[in-house]
Amino acid sequence: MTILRHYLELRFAGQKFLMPNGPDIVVEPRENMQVERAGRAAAMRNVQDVSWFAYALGPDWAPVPESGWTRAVFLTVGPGRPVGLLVDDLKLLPADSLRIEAFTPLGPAPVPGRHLFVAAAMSLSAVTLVLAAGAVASYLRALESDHGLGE
Amino acid sequence: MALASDRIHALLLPVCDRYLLVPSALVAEIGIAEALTPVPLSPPWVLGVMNWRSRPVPVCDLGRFWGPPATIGPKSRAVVFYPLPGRSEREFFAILTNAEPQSRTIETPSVLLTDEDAVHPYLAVSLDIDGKRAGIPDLAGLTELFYDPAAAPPAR
Repeated sequence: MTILRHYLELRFAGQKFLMPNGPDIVVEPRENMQVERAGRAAAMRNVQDVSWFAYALGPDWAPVPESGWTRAVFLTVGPGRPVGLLVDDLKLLPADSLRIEAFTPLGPAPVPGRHLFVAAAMSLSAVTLVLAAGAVASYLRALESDHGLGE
Repeated sequence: MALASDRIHALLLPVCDRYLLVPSALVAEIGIAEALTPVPLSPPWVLGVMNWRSRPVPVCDLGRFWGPPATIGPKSRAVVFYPLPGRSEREFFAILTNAEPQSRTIETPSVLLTDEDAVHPYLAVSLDIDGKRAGIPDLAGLTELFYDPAAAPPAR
């Protein structure tokens, strides 16, 4: 069993989320990225002649052409090539500093069979949603296929 | 037509232009609706998630199904419900109300069934309670509305 030691705190579109850190996450600074729009992607990284697309998202999680992003968080989980989420800021938080509670979002799942949020970190009064990396990767890959780039 | 039931302790929740009548036993607490964290890609009737006793509790605007979207004001309340039948014991949820709910002991002669909105998808029945337009939520319908059967349940 893998012991979760850290969460990534991701900030974008004025919102803050957490994601369990693990070997299926690759973080790239902006300077390592090609800032070039490709369909709905705002940037990309070429790895061994394969384009890894990365998306800037607005508050409603719709892709936006540009934001104040500083890093790309690539998710390698699941089938298909890695896909990235562009974030304004990123921090590594020790898991034992957080109180994490399971959470079931209401309504239909945004990607078939999977909710994007599976838990929440509870502080004195605030709630920070915890992202499910696999579901987020599926959501971003669906954005890719929406503009015909496919897998 | 009289409702065939005995006395029940209930709450009248002011939601949109009517009331929801719910047994008090379904309600865990009545809280202030504040500091909601948005849940992106949720349906518009999900207002966000609140911190209730260190639990993440989603707050919904059921009034949206029969009226305009709610606005959260100083009188608004978040009525926290115990989990629906068949759901995990930690799946509390909250319904936004316009104001503080009213406590009532409902007795048979005081309640009349009406035909209005009898087919509303999230009201099992519509009632007239002392001249107030009310409805009893359809818990099975709410369960279908709230929980995507295809989505894997989170780890317990």
